[in-house]
Amino acid sequence: MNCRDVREVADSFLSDQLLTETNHEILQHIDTCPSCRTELDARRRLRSALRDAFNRAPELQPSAEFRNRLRDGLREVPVEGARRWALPGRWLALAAGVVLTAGLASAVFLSRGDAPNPIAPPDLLARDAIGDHRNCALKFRLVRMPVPLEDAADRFDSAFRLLLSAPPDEIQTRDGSARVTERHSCAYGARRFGHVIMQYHGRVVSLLMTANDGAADTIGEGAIPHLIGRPMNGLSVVSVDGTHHSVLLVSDLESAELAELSKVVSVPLAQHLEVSLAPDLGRLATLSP
Amino acid sequence: MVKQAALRDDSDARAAFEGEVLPHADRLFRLALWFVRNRADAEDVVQDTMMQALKSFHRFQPGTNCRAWLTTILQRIVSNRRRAAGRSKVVEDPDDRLAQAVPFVPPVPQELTDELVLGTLRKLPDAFQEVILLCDVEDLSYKEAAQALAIPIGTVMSRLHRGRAQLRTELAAADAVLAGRSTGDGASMRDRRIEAS
Repeated sequence: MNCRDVREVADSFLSDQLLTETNHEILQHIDTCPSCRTELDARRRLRSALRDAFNRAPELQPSAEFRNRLRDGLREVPVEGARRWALPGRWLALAAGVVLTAGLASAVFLSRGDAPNPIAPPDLLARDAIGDHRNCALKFRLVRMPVPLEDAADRFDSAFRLLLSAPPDEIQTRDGSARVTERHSCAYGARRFGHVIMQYHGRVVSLLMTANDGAADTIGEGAIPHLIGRPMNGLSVVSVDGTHHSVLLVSDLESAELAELSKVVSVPLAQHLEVSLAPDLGRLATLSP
Repeated sequence: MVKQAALRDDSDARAAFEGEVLPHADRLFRLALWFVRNRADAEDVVQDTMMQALKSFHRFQPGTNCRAWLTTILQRIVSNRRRAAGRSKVVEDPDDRLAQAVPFVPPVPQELTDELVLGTLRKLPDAFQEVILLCDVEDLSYKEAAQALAIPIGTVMSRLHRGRAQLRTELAAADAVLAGRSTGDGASMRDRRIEAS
């Protein structure tokens, strides 16, 4: 892929509309081409400026009076088709309840929409993180489109706001530098993540923040996330678990490389989340068949 | 008994609607106001959109992109209003007027103020503004934007390409004018502001 090719599809790249293979070709190109990297940054900056300007323009905001009038007006209108809507939701809730009672973890996939994250031990967290990394960062085949972190912080989890600025766009480790290429929130199954995608040593790395509902603390030190279902050869997960949130790194990098990166990006982030988090909580686990 | 069940179902649906749809009201309003350029009309458009969404809520698939679904409803309402007012967009479709994309894309200015960015966006043909707002601001995919605007996905991509290029050309020109006014009053964009009634 040459400079002309990259610029032709640069906006589609920023919109995550390209095939994984094309994404990788672009990332490889901009690793060695400062000119195209600058151009991509410029387009990203313009898009961000446009979004911010539009969303905060005072003259484009609805009045409080209109908001109230709209809400009150809608309450006067009966919900047509409500019973048809309610039936599948209830069926799913019932099905999820039955399956959870039976102890099958796969029931989380039956939850509707963006329900609160289910309580999950680290192996489930790792499985969901791997699933999100593969579907979002590598293949971009999500059921639900990613949403901006600001929106996700307002709607799902205020902790995601931290990811707007952390980790920084350029990260130095002892072994090299990592660069952030994307920040958003996405979902895998019933689990909502704050997702930062990075390039490190030529590989794609996902940093995923998610609520763990305290379950991670109940697992003993040294517990190794393992995969439920089919094996994922060569993928590593490094998890830093706090009382309420876990910060996971997922990549096909060597485990030691990922662990090094974790010290620089995950641990400071987790420390922001809770002051009491010990800096050496990073647990390394390589998933193997 | 049956009546009680129906009431409970209605209550569930309403709670789901308020949780899923109402948070998008402000976004819908901004889009509506940008397109119709009048607060009273924008309020009508948002109200009609919400009413339509409420009536069709049983058709909404949980887990799909609610924002895209609502934007499609809003766009159809805006489009119907334009037709009713005799303002057909066909004559102002830029695809025919701008047969070829702008060949040179100037650099993005270092300083991008809100006024500069929005004022420049407003200078573009409506069809370019629409796709840029839906794809770059509202984060709709090309496919979702195509559905919302009822145009082929190839047209969305083509308009985006040309629209973004023209936006940069206009931004560079506006930035040059502002830079030339060392003692200017920065009022170049004011005449483009949306009517505030």
